[in-house]
Amino acid sequence: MRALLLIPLLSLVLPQGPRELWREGERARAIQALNAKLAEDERPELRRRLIDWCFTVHKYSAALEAAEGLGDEGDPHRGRALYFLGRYEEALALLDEGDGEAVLMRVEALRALGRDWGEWIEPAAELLGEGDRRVALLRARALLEGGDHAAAVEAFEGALKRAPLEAEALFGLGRALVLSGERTRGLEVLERHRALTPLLDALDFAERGLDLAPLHGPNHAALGDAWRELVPFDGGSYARAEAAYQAALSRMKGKARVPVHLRRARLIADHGDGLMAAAFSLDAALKEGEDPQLLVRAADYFSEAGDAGLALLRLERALALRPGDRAIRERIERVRRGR
Amino acid sequence: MRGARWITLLCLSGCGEEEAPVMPTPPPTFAFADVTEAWGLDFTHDAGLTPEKHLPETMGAGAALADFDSDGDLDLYFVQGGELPVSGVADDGNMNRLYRNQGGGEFVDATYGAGAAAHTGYGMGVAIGDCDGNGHLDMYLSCLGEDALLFGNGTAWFRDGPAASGVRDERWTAGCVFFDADSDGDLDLYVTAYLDVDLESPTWCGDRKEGWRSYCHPDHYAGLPDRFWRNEGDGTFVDATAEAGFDDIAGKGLGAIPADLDGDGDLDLYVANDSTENRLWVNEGDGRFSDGTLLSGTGVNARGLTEAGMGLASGDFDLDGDLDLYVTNFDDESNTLYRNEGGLIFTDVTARWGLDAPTRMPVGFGTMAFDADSDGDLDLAVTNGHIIDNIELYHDGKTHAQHALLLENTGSVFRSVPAGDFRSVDAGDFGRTPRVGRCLLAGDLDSDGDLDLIETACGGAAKIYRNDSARGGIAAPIVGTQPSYLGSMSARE
Repeated sequence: MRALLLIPLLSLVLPQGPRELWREGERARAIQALNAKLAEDERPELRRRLIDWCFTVHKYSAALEAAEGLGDEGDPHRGRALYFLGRYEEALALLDEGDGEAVLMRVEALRALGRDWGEWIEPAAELLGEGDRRVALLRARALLEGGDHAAAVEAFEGALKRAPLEAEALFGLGRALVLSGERTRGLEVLERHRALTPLLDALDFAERGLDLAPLHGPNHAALGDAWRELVPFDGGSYARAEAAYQAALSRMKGKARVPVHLRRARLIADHGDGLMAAAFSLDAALKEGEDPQLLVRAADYFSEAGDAGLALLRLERALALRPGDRAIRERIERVRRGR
Repeated sequence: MRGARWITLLCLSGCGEEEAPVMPTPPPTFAFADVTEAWGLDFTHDAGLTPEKHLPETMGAGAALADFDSDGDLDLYFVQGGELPVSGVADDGNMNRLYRNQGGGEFVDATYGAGAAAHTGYGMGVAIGDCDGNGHLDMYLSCLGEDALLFGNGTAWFRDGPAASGVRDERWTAGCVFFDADSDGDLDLYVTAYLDVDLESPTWCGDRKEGWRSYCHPDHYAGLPDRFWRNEGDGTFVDATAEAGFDDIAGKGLGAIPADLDGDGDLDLYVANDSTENRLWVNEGDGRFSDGTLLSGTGVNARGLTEAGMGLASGDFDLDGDLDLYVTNFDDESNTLYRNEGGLIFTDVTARWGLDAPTRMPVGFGTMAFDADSDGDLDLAVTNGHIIDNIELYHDGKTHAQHALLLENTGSVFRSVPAGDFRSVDAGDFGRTPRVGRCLLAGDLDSDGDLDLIETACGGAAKIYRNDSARGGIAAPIVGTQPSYLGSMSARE
């Protein structure tokens, strides 16, 4: 019994291991701890983990340094680090020609240096497969830059089928259409691209926020919002939004979960199974505890779906929680009048 | 604007000068010598840095180059920052500074005799032009807070004239430019507005650990719509933003450059927006503009992605007779060069012309298109500097202070090199030391026939770089170019 008591006490005073720190989001400290561990016990698997962690937190110089300890085996990692540091010439000498992701970096490095990259399309296709959206994009891009606009139209359309949210494919298609003389259709596509772009920017912003603080629930919810807005462009975004909201809920407690439930309900209402399903999702959330916001929103959905009875029941529960709330009273009146 | 030429002026220098290793120096093809002290310039920008990391303190400030005292040489004007106007309190300890050129590269601080040009608001940019048609240069100051329109009398003295002028703007404005939008012979004014920031309750962005607080990304804030002020002919203005067709788009505007991009004889307008789509406004010839962004392909890069547009330059880089566009952007984006294909169609040729790799890591601000080596084609100079002072905590390959770049256009009708092929070159003192560059101007300060460079820094000293390039001789005229980010100058010849 005494020994059992000591274990939790010891855990308070003993330094945490790198993995624990990493899991808790203490990434800088985790890397520091792993470096210290490596100084005492140099093992390739630990070094590979260190390199991986450095890439994850954008410590490319540190990744480069860490990769030195792997000898020749570290070359591909050094190539990647040099690529992310913008040292393209050096990266080209080290990037792994047998790795699809590294071949894509090679293409990008060659492009940045203003050199021909076309010869790497086939290797990329072999390594990543013809079904890979990035390969399709490379082919389309090459056609557009080569001036074969008609073929580029076809290629970009193919790329869009694989990846409806690919900005380059949409923009490239619009450009290729304009340049091939189909100005009206091209402008329509470019308008669609214009509408999509800020949504992709918002998604990028949300992903960066999550990257900085992966354990912060509201960051997951923000990602859910970004995906939700993209559903009209790509139905597959629905599942991503739902997953992000669930991830947010799993990291949040109590009243902090309410806004996430509301946003998830909006996803369901706007793009999922409709108003009733959204209302029932809020009913499910109410099992965590009565909340006037959830009740009012559920009532709104029921009302909009034509079920005034269910709406009134929720509004009355909301009014019980906030007896002086004029907005709730007005809603009740409105629903009663509309019955 | 007939007979007018565009001289561009603007700089942003780095917030906080840092000692840094000297760059390796191959044999100099271009030579720009730092003559700041020798020529009597002692301006240092005060960014008003705060622990709360208010975004405006990362952005300033601009400068202008013009013959304010009508003696035939170019004088200098620097926009100052100071204490941020939190709680409505404006700092009156820092003022914009005007330096008169005494000839041959000697400058004297003439601020105290410059009247209202000794402005004390938290400044961002400046535009220069004779907006009341009396033959003397006037200036517009964009600020965080109330902007100012100042009227000059040709002796480097200015009076404040906002009440009579009709121009009023108290938002966070940035780029500003005078140009004759409606071809009626007077100068109209376009002012970009940036972000709606809350100085009273700043959001904490970045890690909560000590020393890790960072500046918030522009995506964190709502953008503000730009404004177009039509000159009524006498230096009074009316807000004609909607009437002229500039839709109410909150684009997070920074740079703006007028240029005849479709070759029809009037000035179109290109606006750089930070992290939202840039805009190309096509002048319909009657003072109205239509949105030519989609057709032209200049709103985004070749990947279809928005970039953080800041500085702008325009010029005929490939010597095909029309004006191309160059935009400076944030890190992990290259700066972007759009080649004019004619018919208002542009192509992003950044990578093809070798301009991608040299500009991928720095944060580009002010830029100038000018013939640095007098070989007949336009080269590019770019001043760089990150906005985040602790960026190295978040990305160990990036720094706050950064090297400026001079990109030589090796294409020329005199050489068998394809036009439009750029390479980064050593430029002597220009770019040797990392700085937090913001505004960049080019002008012949010592009247020796070549173009010198002026660079400002956010929170740092402004610099003058004398052009000592071996081939420095007769400079090609700057036509249709306007440099960078905050401010520009249009001067009548």
